[in-house]
Amino acid sequence: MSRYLVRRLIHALITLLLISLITFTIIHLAPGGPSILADPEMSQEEAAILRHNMGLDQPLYVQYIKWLYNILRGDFGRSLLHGQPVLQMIGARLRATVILALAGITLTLVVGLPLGVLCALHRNSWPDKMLTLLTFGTISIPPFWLGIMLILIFAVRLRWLPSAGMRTVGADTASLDLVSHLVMPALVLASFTLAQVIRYTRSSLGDVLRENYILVARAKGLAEQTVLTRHALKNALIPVVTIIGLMLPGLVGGAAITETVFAWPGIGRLAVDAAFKRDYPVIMGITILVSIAVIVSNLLVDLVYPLFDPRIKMH
Amino acid sequence: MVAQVSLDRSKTGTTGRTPMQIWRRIIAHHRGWLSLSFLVFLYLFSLIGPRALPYSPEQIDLSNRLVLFSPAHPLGTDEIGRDNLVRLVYGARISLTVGVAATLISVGVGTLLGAVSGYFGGYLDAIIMRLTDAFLAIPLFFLLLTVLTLLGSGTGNIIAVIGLTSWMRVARLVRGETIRFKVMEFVEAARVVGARDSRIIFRHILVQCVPTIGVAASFNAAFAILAESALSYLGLGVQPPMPSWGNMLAASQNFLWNAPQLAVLPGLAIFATVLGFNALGEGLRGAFDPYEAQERRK
Repeated sequence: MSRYLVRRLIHALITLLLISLITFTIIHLAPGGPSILADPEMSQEEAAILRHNMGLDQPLYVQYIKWLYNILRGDFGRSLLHGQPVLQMIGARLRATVILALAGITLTLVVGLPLGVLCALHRNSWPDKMLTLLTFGTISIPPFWLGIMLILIFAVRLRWLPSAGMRTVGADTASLDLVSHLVMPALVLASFTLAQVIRYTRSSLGDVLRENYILVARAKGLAEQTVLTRHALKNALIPVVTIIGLMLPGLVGGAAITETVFAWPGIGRLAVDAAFKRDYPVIMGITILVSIAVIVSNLLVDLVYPLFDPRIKMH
Repeated sequence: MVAQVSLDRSKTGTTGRTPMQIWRRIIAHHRGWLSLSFLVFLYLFSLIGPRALPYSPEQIDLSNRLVLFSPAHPLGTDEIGRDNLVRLVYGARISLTVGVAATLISVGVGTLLGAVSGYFGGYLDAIIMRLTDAFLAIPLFFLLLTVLTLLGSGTGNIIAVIGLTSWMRVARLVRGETIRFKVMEFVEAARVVGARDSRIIFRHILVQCVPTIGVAASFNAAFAILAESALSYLGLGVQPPMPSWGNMLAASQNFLWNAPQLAVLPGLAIFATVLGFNALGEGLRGAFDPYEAQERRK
């Protein structure tokens, strides 16, 4: 078990290093380097002075090492627009995005898994057919359009839910207000992954139920419920866990769009703003942090994996 | 971001298929044709529309703002009086162009890297695969945002950006297929005859990969169109006044209270097109999946 873990850890570290290299290379691809992004109208002498101050006239590998060292110390630089330290800006908005992401993941698992199981158990019944069609449609819907449509129906026409933001100014019941603001963005965020989870659970469980050992379990006289929980589900969930792990980057990326549609004050919106205004320290910081989060969560998923499939331990 | 693309080919044995066999299977499979015909129709529509319709997409008519449906403007007008139908058609042209171009880039890069990686193995394979993993770990959208921060917005830039950030899946798939095929007899036969490595890869192995690449390309196209419209919605893609379904959608959000149809139409267009490509991909996949073929015969 520990050998497997150590291998995964080393793999993750190498990937992180590569990511830092990629991000660094992308930003420094601009002719003249990042100083151009500060002010394209600068004169040559000003640009040269700025470049020297930013340490950009040193050889690239020196810059890279210095940059990496700073990152590891937690110094992500300062925003070009606001002057604030990047890490501080991200920290201020992190809570909002985490709330949204957790809501989305919870929705996906709590709704998706049971629905997928139901579909597998009652294959080709009309709810199954409807759900299959629905999930196929959902993965094709542009999430921002889904958000706008939901706003149209629930906020504009029916006036049940607030149309944007995280809180209403001066609201008295704080948590209920948060939930009402959370419903639509979480739904939009979860839509794609929800559809995928339903499809994969359905197909995976469907395949597992056709296996021989299920037949044996039933022949032994076990109750259908026991067959399901003790044998079928554990095996069926293995590919689903993989899929969920693979979907995490997509979930994070989707948060950027969702936050923009609903004016949710999270780091996704921060990233979009930064990209718009060419504030490269902020966007680099967010990209790296988010990538780290994704790799860490993939590692966690890998930790959970052997619980489902003991064969993995032996690799 | 797409459905599972790999085909279970454990039942197809150790010989490949001839191009004719591949072609015949594609034609025989009915389900893909509906989506293909829709897409072809859309493409023709986007070509002919600009010539056939009387308005230009930038033609402002302030006396006719936010009209719903009228004989002069069958799909209504937007907030400064531009005809919606015309703008949708021009948007179609842009979205399809970006989608197809970006897909060509991503599939091209992915296929090349995957084939080289799978065929030669060793250090090259390890490096390319680590690179692929690193790119895959960065959330795609943030990768797009980062590169766009650098390059700035604009149609050409987004094509390059989307193309260069969605090759990973194709690379992995092609690598898997190449590894499967390079041990087959026809490759050995080609080597015996003295064929160069490059010839083996292109003429023999990649031909066998065409079904997988086709499926991946469809799904990639769907993603490219979604990405382009998302970026345009955020203001980082196609810039107004040039119409793209994405930026039309962004502008409509201010008018949800008085003119909701402005939000419905472009979104519907994106949805339909993406659905078309996804359905095409599913159709192609169904044509080649031996399991599904069995299911259909039952």
